[in-house]
Amino acid sequence: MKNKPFISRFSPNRTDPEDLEAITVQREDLIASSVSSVRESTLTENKHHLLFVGPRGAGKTHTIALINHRVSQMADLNDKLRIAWLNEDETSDTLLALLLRIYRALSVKYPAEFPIDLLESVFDIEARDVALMKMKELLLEQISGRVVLIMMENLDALFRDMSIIEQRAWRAFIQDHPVFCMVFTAQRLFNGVSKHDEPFYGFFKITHLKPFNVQDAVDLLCKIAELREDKKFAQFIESPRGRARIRALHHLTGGNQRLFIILSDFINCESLDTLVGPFEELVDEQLTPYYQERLRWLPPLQRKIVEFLCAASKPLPVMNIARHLFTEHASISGQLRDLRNIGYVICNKRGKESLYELSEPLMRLSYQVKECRGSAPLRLLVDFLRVWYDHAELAQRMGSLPMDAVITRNYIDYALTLFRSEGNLCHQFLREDAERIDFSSICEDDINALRELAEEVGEPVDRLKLASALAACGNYRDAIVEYDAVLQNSEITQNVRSNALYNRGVICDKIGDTDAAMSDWTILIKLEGAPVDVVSSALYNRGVTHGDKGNMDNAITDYTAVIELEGASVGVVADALTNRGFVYREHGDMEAAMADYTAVTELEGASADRVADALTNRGFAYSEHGDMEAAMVDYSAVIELEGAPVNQVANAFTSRGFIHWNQGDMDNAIADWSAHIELEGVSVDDVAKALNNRGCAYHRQASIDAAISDWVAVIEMEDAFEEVKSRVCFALSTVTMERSEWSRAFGYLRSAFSFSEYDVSIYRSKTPEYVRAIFDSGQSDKDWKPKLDQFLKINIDNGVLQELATGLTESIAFLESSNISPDGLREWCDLWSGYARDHAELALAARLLSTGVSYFNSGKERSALLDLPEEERRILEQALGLADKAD
Amino acid sequence: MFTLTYVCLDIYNGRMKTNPGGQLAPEEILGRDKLIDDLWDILDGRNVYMNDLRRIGKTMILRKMEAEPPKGWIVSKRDLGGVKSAAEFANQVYRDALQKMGTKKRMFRWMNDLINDVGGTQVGGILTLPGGNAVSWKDVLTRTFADLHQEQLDGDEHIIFLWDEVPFMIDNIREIEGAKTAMEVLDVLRSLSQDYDSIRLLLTGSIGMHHVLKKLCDDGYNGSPLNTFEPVSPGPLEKKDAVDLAKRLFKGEGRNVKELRKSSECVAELTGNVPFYIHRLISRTPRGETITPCSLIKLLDSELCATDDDWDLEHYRKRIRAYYPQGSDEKIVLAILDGIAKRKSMEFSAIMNEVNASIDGGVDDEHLRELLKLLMKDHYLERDAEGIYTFRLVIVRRWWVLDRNLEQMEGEGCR
Repeated sequence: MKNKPFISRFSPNRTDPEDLEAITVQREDLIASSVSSVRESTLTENKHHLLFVGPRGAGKTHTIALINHRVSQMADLNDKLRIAWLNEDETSDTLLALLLRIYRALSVKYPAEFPIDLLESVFDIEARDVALMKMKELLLEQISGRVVLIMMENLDALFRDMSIIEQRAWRAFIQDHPVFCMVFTAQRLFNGVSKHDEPFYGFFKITHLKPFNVQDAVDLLCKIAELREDKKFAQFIESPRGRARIRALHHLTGGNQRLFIILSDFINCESLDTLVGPFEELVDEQLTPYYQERLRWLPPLQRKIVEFLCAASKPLPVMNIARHLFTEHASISGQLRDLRNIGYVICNKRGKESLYELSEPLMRLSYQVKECRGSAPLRLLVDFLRVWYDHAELAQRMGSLPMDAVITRNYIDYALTLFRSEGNLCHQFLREDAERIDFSSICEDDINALRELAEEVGEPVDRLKLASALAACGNYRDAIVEYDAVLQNSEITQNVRSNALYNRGVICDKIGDTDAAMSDWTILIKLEGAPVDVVSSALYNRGVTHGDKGNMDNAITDYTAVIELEGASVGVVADALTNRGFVYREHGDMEAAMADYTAVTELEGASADRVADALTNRGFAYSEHGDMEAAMVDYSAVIELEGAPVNQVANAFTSRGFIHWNQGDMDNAIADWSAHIELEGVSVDDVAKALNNRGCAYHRQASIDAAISDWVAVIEMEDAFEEVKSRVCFALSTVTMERSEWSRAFGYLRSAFSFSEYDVSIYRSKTPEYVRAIFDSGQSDKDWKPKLDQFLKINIDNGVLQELATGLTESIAFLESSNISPDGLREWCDLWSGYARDHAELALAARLLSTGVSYFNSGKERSALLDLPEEERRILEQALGLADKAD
Repeated sequence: MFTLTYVCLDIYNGRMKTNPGGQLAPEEILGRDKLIDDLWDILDGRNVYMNDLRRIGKTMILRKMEAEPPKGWIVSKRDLGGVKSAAEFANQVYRDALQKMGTKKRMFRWMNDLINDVGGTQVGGILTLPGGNAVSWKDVLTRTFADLHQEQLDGDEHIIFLWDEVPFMIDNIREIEGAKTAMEVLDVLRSLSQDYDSIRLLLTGSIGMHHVLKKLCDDGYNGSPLNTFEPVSPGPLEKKDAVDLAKRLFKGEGRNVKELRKSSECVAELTGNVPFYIHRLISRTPRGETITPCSLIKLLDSELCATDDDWDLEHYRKRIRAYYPQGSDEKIVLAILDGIAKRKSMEFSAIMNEVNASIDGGVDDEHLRELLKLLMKDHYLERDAEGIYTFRLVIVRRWWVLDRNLEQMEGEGCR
């Protein structure tokens, strides 16, 4: 391992830029993009102005140091770009002062191009406005067509010193002389750049530097290890144990880059003695004055809250803070809100509870150094030891320390004491992370957190959580591996074993291995001491699987076992009854099915959704058997059931509506489907279907405008199923044809086919109507041809000529009742014959049509049919309804 | 210049880097060609005062006009936001005129007379009397205009001053030299614009002139300095231009976008086609993640709800008290905006019902009409030809709904 490269903890611009490059994490894209912006500002007329915002230690200086380094290396910018890095500690309260500062910075770096003695001509001018004008001229002249990159930290301090009028002047100067590109940093967002009425509102492209997440921290420490050529450490970091340690460290650092870099020095160091003292001094120098200043401006209660949080080792609820400060909850809550708005604290949610902590971990460190100076170990470093080493490792280190390593001994001793009194801090942090996981939206980092917890702590329940999370992500195979590992442990409790068996069974079932699933559930069912609720669920699942496999008797047996199981929950009993009822119905045992459904409705404590389910099933069974009145009663019961899920209620409205439809009662069908449409919380697709149905009911009532309105509403529903939209387009094309609105009709027909899903059988069923509608619209080929040409094109474009041919054949029968002259009929035939010449799919239908017309024109002489060979003749006879008569 | 613009687009291959708030190269200022053509047409006959919401793109429009003037126009553009005194203003105008026209021998006869009359010196455009006192700024302005006017009578070119941040300048002068001087500057500007109507002025600013005039009104001013100026509100881009801009920015930033067209349309819709907001929203999209319309909606909502948000759309709510201080006007205005925010659009009668339901005692319909007019003038709302009122900017409406926890009347979730 080479001598440690110097990575400055507090002044990244003192670190070798190549080393900064080597340890850059998370921000590579941001830095590259920013460099690209500076290049563009130099080489084009675009000018970018960037502002990086983040608390102390977030990596602002590191970022802009790298931007500076990279653009300085670009040979093609050498002649075109000049860099002015301004000292952040200088004050500039006027534009004149700022321009002087810029010139001086340029003069330091480019003395020949920006001679310092030229400033004397400005100093000679008494009148400030004239001096300003002179300064502008001088600066612009010396810039001489190049671009100046102005870099500075703590832009908020500059704005604090500059009046609004001076800011306006500065902005005007930049706008009038677009030769500047600015890259600044700030500790927090401030009014000068974020408030609407300020001159520089919206002027900067603002990027908030995010804290490091665990993976970023791993990457950073890996890179530091690589830089130091410490391969062993690099490997350890990547291991699950290493990652677990880093995750726990993340709690201590709050993701602050600087803290990670600081702590990296302490990792693997043999003795703290040579490090702690200089470290405390450095913190005192670099951080304490700054944070003292920040606290000085706060009102007393806010200051007390911040100091209290500085001493806390974890986020705290409001009640806890109020209690320790002997202040009302509401008062503390209000102050915390204010502190949050000004960036001193952040709020973390744990369920409904809000927990507060400092937004800047370095503030805590500074406070600790101040409080503990020389008299007690720094809590941050002690906690670091507790996180990085387990108890045994610490005890071993203690044993091997020389007696004169006083500081190290103190630290380890304190850490061991806290181990005994407060437990394993690393495990606590890992558990906290695991408890925050929302299993309904698991991400990769959550899986990592659970894996690290399982590896580090090794409790079976932790591995169960990991398995559950893997399953939630669809990673079933890995989940099974974890369940296998749990079950291989002979010392697990029956609860844990039951959980693992049940869940493994569920996952096996999901991936199609039903035999393995059944096996797990069978073992569980027989397991002595297994909890009743898990056993009943296993029985239920096994019953469902039996049913899926067609083993109805076994399914009934299992459902019965659930129903009779003492202690089984009402919910699973209700489900078992409903399913058993379903199986009975499938078997034709209506009496038993009805009894089961009825039992659910009378089951005390059964939830509304289960009762609704049973009622719906019973209603369906009644309707299957023709007892519509009873079915209606059940559907009505669902509709009126308090607490019934909206989708069940919608289903009931739909089903009852269909009964009304079948009974020809359109008014009530419309009423039910209207109620469905107006239900709140119904899915878009269900509403679309109900609109479609209601449209059909309106159509049947001859309320065509209302029907069209409903169907058009379906098309305008963005998220409705395409298949339903296609269906209504077919319907719309039919009714608009009936109204001779041909352009609209063909438009709808094209649209019907344009959706990604459509049911061609619907089109097939409508083709006779379309053909007939076109036929009825005219008297001769002059009327028919334009429409048929369009109609045919739609069929060709969508590959449904075969369906058209079938429809054409079926339409022949309608010609009998038409009042078109024989010549007209012949023209109709000739049109189709013409189309058939180019499209073979239509050939048969055209021949049948032609013979059919001859048949009608001959006064229905059967002999006219002999123009066709026998098999074709039979088709035509069928189409004409002559088949029975022929027989 | 259109050909050059086309060639530049080829070079860029339709990619642009996001640059919210920064200075754009003229060829990257998209979607303003028609507006600029219209502005030049107006300027043929009248001066223009361009007023609109902050960050709508007024300064960039000036930048493009400066870079691409039609033949026969000499453009002088200046940001006057840093001007602190009437004298500084006058001197700046003179220096700018000198820079643009000073090579002509016959130019600045009146100004040269002035310099000779008072025995003063002109050094780098600063006019001082022998005793070191400044020359009267009114004289400087008047004579500069006179010289320019004369030049234009003799020649075939027009000069136009594009002056940005004029309200800031007036406000600075009011703060430093007093309201009286600020009023005088306005009066002189008005009379110069009328007396020398061959010189064209296009004035604009980050804040509306009416804010500054209101302060002066409190000091006794009752002039209308801009009443001969044609008011122009640039407004957002046309949808197709906004979508085009979004596409270019997505490509320029190398974002991983699923369904580029839909995502670009989504950006345009969410931001109300305002270029600054488009740049900003796209600059905030995460690198390395797939961007979809759904993720864009979530991103914007989280930006607007953040405690440290730099969009400051809260400004639209906060300023209502100051803009509508009379009686219960503030409550009425809030009720109007709440109603339209919830429903996206409303006609007058529906607004009337909404307000009457929210305000004790209801509201007189004439007063309601008046308030609606003011809300349009203050750029909160706009009204289409059918009398339907909507928020002028979708993004403001979206923020309003989030900030005031309003229940949206139509699904605005992920598409």
